[in-house]
Formats: sequence, C-alpha cells, structure tokens
Amino acid sequence: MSTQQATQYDVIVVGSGITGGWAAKEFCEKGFNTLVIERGRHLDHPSPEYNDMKTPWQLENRGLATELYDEEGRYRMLKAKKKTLKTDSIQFFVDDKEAPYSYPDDRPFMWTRGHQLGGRSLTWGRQVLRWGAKDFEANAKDGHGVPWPISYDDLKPWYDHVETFIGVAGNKDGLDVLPDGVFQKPWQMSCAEQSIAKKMAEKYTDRHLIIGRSANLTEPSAEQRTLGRIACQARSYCARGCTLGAYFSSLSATLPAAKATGKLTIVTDAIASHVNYDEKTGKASGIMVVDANTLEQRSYRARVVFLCASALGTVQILLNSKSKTFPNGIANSSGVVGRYIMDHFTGAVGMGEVPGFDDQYSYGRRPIATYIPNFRHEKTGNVNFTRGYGYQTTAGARPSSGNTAKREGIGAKVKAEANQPKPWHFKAFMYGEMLPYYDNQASLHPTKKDKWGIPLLHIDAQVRDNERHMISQAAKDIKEILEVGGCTKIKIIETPKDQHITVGNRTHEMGGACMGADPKTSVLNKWAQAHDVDNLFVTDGACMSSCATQNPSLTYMAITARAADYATKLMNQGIL
Amino acid sequence: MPETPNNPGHSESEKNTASGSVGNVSFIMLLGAGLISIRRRYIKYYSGKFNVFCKRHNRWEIIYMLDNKITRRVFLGTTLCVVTAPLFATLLNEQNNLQKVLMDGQFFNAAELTLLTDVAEIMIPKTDTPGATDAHVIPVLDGLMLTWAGVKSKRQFRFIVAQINDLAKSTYGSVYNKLAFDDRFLLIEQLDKTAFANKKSVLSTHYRRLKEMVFHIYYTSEEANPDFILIPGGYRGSLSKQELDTIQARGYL
Ligand SMILES: Cc1cc2nc3c(=O)[nH]c(=O)nc-3n(C[C@H](O)[C@H](O)[C@H](O)COP(=O)(O)OP(=O)(O)OC[C@H]3O[C@@H](n4cnc5c(N)ncnc54)[C@H](O)[C@@H]3O)c2cc1C
Repeated sequence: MSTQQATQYDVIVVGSGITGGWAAKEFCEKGFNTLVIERGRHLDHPSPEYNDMKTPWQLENRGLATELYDEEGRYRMLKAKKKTLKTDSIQFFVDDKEAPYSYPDDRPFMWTRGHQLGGRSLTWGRQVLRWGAKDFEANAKDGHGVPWPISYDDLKPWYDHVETFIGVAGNKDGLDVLPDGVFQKPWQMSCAEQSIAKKMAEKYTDRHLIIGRSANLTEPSAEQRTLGRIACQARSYCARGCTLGAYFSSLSATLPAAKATGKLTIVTDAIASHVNYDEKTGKASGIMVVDANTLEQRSYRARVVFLCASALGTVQILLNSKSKTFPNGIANSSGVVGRYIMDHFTGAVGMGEVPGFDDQYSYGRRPIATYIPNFRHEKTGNVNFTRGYGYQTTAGARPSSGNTAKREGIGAKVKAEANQPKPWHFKAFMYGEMLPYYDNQASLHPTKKDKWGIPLLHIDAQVRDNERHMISQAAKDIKEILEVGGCTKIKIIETPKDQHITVGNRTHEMGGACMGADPKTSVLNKWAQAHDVDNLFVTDGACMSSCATQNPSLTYMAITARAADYATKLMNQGIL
Repeated sequence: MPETPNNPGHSESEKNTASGSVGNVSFIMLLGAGLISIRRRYIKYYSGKFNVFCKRHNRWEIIYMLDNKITRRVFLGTTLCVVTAPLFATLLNEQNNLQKVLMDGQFFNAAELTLLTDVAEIMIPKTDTPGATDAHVIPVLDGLMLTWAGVKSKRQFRFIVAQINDLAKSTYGSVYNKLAFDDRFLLIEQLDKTAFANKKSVLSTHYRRLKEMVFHIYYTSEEANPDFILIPGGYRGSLSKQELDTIQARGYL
C-alpha cells in the first residue's frame, strides 16, 4: 500500500549530492517550491559526524575501522578501493552489503556511493576542471558514442555561474584544452613541482604541469561568507567533512542557499524507487519512494522532476520506472537508457625523485594535486588509439623516510632514523578517456532485489583495446615527461594487458542516459530534458555522452544549472 | 557513525583481583605524592573487584581531570568514540629491569601486558624522545582489541605472546618476563630479523602484525607527534629549514 502526499511541489529533485544541491538552489532561488528527496540520512552542517577537528590520536580506533566489517563481508568494494578502511570518513561511504549491486563475476565494477544528505559532495576530491571545446566535439569527430548536442560555448556562462558560487582556487593557465574560469587565488606549487613545470615549458608546447583547480576557498566572496564559509586552512582532511565550510559541498553551500529562500523541503531516508508516469498527460507526475527505515511507500507530486541521484542511481530509477508506454523504463523509447557506461581509468603511473631541493621543505597540507592536461586530442605520430589522457600528479609535500613497521628494524637507531625528510618525489597517475561503448551497460537484475524491494542494478562495463593502447603510450609519455622534468630514479608502473581494470575505480562513472540530438539514439536533448517526457530532466553524470579526461563534477553542475534555468523558463511560460 | 563503547564491561574483568593497593602503585608513579590522598579515597571506594573498577570508569575520569596532563595522556581525547586507555599499575622489577604490569587489562591479562609492554619498548625505546610506554602503546592496544580487532586478530595477538614465551623458553630456558634485559632485547631483535627474512612462517605473520600495530599506535600518538598542527592555516611549498622551524614554533602560518 502506498500513500499519496497532499502537497504538489513545483519541482522534485531526487538526490542531494553535487547536482541535486545545485538543482535545488537554482529552483528555490527562482521562486519554485522544491522538494529534495534523499535516500540517505539527514546531516547538519557542520555535523557531529565530521571528523576534521580530530588529531590522529583522537580518531576512533586510531583511524582503523573495526575488523568486524571484514568478518561480516561489509564494505568490500570500499576496501578494494582504499586498501584500509578508515574511521575518519567511512561513515560517508556506502556499505555494499547493505545496498548491494551486481556485476559479472569476472568483471567487477566499483560503485563508490555516499548515501546521506549531501551525497558524495562530502567526500569528493574537489578537482574542478572545465572541459574544452574539443571534448564536446570528440564523439561527432571520431564517430564513437552519440554526438554531443551542446558545445563548450553553450556551457561557458554556466561554468562561470557555478565557479563564482562554489569558489575555485585556480591559476589562469591560458590553455585551450582546459579553459580558464572564475578563479580565486591558486594554491602554490612546491619547489619540486615548479621545477618540473619550468623544464616542461622549455621543452614542450603541448604538455603543461599546472596547479590543480580546487573547490576550496582561498579568497571567500561576500556570498560565500554569508553562507558561513571561510578560507581553507590547508588541513586536507576534506573527506572527513569540513566544519569551516571551506570546500564546496551541498551541505555547506547549495542546500543552505536553497533553504534561505524558504522554498525548500527536504525528505531524507526516502528511496526513490521510480518516476510515476501519467499515461493521460504523457508527463511524469512525481516520484514514488520507499521509506528507508519503515519500507512504507509514499508518492510525491510535482510539475517537473529532476533526477540527480548520481549517474548509476538515476539509471536504476529510470529503468525501474515501467509503465504501459515505457515497458523498459521511462524515457527509454530509444533503448539507450543504461548504455554507454563510462569512467576514467588509469593503468600508467610514473614516479621519480626531484633532485636539487634537499634544503627546501613544505608546510601545511595542500588540498589539491597538480595536473597535466590531455595533450593527445589529435591522433599524432603513429599512435594506435583515439582520444587521450591527462595525469593527476603531485609533489606537494616532501616525503619522509617513514618507519620500519613493515620492514626489518627495531630499537633506538631505527627510531632516530624514522620520519626523516627524503628527497622530493613526483608522482603521476594517468587518467584516460574511455570511449562510450554501447555494450558497456547497466541493467536491472532479473531476479535479485535489495531489502527495499528494488531490483539490483547490474553493471557490466570493461575497458577495451583502445584503452589498453592508451595505457602503453601513457606509460611511454610519462617516462619522457619525468626525464624532461629532470627527475631521477624514475619508475613506471604499467598495468599488464591481461590484468583486469576495474571500471568505476576512478569514481567518475558517467553515461546511461546520454544527451543527443536524435531521440532514436539518445535519451536527453540538449537541455538534459528527456526526449520522451518533457517534464523529466536528468542532470547528473548519466547525461554525459562522452567522458573526456577531466574530473567531471564541474560539468555536471554547469549542465544542472543550465537545465534548471531552462526548465524555469518553460514553467514560467506555462509549458511545463 | 557507529560509536564504539567507551568503557565496555566484560567478563574478562571477573578474573581480576586487583586491589586498591595495586592502584596506589600506579598513582604514585603517575601522579606523584601530592595527589595520593585524593586517590586513596577513591581507591578505597573502588577497592576490591576489577569489575567495579570498570563500571565506575567514568568516575575515574573525573578524578583524573584534576590533573590535566594526566587526563590528556590517560584518556586520549574526550569524545565517546575514542578508545580509552587506562594506564596499568606497574612495578619495576629492578633485577631484570622489567616493568611488571600488576593488573589485567580489558583484553590481555597482567602477564601478557607485561610482556607486550616490554616488547613494545624494545621496539620503540625511550630516547631523547618518548618511547612506546610513554605513548601508552600497550594500554591503547588492549583497548583496540575490544573495539577494533576481529576474531582472527584477537587470536593472533594472544598467540604471539605465547609464541614469544615459547621462544624464550626454547632459547633461554625461561619465560620471557623472567629473562634479563639483554636476553630479551636479543630475542626480539633476532625475532624481528627472522620474521622479515622468512615471511611465510606463522610466527612471522603474527609478529609482523604485532609490530605493525605497535608502530601504528605509537606513530599516531600525541607523544610521537609533538609538531603536529591540526590547523596549519595555509600551505607553502618552498621553505628553508629556518623558515619552516619558525612557522612550526609559532604553530600557524
Ligand atoms: C573519493 C572521491 C573523490 C572524488 N573526486 C572528485 C574530483 O576531484 N572531482 C570531480 O569532479 N569529481 C570527483 N568525484 C566524483 C564526484 O563525487 C561525483 O561526480 C559527484 O558527487 C556526482 O554528483 P551527483 O549529484 O551526481 O551524485 P552524488 O554526489 O553521489 O549524490 C547523489 C545523491 O543521490 C542520492 N540517491 C541515490 N539514489 C537515490 C534514490 N533512489 N532516491 C533518493 N536519493 C538517491 C544519494 O544518496 C546521494 O546523496 C569524487 C568522488 C569520490 C567518492
């Protein structure tokens, strides 16, 4: 039995993470009564669950999560991702035993989720990089996936809009492949990073080492201060939650801004199971939820529905929204819902010592890495792959010799030698662009359901030859870059061709409801509006038609703000 | 977030018969004579069975509050979810320079704690900087056995104590706690070498596990991190040693 809630909202936003927070803010600020439906628990900001004000000796169990989790088979994927489960932030990650999903036995998919108010905006890495014009042109140019119906110019004002609000510390690097934005003061590069960047600039015109662009405030604006946000104190405990609101999260920024309008209602512990579809009007009439605690079913009504439940969460809802018109899931007349699942991938890691700075030290914990943007958009030379890769890199802090916990040595002598400064060390992880493959698919499991009665999502995605070829070249390229940068003791780790690469590992899962101009081959139009159901929008990572090489969340936010603006115009005109 | 109990009552305590006078020894060592009279009242009050001691743990905390330094050291942090590590009453055996722990812990018994305390101090001795004992490594480990360790680790950690004792007996014909300091040191030093030379043996696995935890607890302790700054205030990436030292001494940028 389900109950129908009396209130009719203007808009329902499903999910309160990075994109849901944005949708809520935009609609509320434009005067629309907005309901945010969130499956996770309520969190305040600042929350007693934040651990950012704890020293290492104050963390629960000295930072080590209870081994009971291992014994009970909990948090298996998180453990595969992080090696050790830590108490500083585990509360913000989903236990896959509690909320299971499915994948082929020989092709595990890593789905890292955060089910709480604020979603993964609490734990994200805050690297915010614009996509460049070439990234939006790629599908059309090389024929992979569905051509993007938008260009960089369509998103540019929305990137500006988002960056102004969230606060991005970045340097104006003047690179076409990574357009500059509205920046606050950038984080410094270390002496080692500066040296490599300089040497690279002397040798290359296409390869640059730049400071990362980080959603951590360095010069808070009046608007940010009004929200109670202050400048980042370089603690780099961001994944624990930030009491100071110094990095962008839904909890510290978009949700408070939405709440301030008086137009926001939030329902937590409410799992959207499907979008209700009205056969008469041909529109979405609202959302059906299952109460996470009581399993009670309730439906909520609205004029417009925004799905922001994270790429795969949204795909699950779409596929589970079956009706007479849409027996295979709402907005799925094309059959493309669940198709083209992508993620970034790594497979080439380079590292080396940076000599010449033994008298230099670092202070503070910089909350962002450095970055080498993609320099392989064009197929040059004799490379045997399409698209390219960038590298997330760092030599932000001078490493120390560590201690002998895991090697031979005890007593006064080794104690005296522990944690001594070592030479500066630079590390670079390739982040490759995975092609949008139609066969990389998320579907509903035919028989298995979770404890809330919702079919499990079955995710079957793999890297293929193009990605393997990229890894080989990326390994060669980074070796050369390290040499050019003056590094010594260079070590390159290349994932062997026969070693499984777990898609989802980079936590940038995208696709499943791609945008495109043609309703026969795509799910959403250029406004991230469903071709089939015009009051239904999908603005999280599901809407992406390709994945580029840059961290994607800034682009999701820009797409969300743009779509919300479009929807409000249609609502004001009475079209929606 | 699931909170681990601050003060788990458990059946281990039943077998402990630590008395008030045992408590006195620890207080004298920890707090100095000036506070003993206050302690005595409570010791008298709590004398007798260890389970009473456990149950009234929070009251002890209140007493310790009289001495801030001790409070910080004894109760690591103030929130409920932090592992509390009551210091154990110890008595120095001057003959073999061994700190004998006089009371059972929450997980390990007194003899096990004595051995572990000594092994940890051999691994990380007090020098011009604090050692494992100063950093309360074993009291914390004892607490972690209840809040962190799974069944396998519990077995491993108890077993390694027995294995070290067996090793002591087969090498020197005596249990570990009765050996002279030099013999104990040599024994652990040799064990360390062997454990890393042959990682496949069960002894190696257990020993390396113990060592890892001892080091982890020590290097995450306040004592081992005198320069730790929770809120640096900013980042600098090219500082001379002198500039760094000045900032460190100031405690902020
Ligand atoms: C450790 C880590 C580091 C990262 N670093 C970066 C980075 O540096 N840069 C970057 O761009 N990205 C990064 N990401 C990825 C980034 O977090 C995601 O891209 C971003 O959070 C996606 O936003 P979203 O709103 O789509 O999803 P989320 O932020 O995941 O929010 C989705 C919300 O929807 C809720 N939800 C899901 N299903 C339902 C349902 N059925 N009903 C109701 N509610 C539901 C969830 O509980 C959640 O609150 C990182 C992620 C992680 C985990």
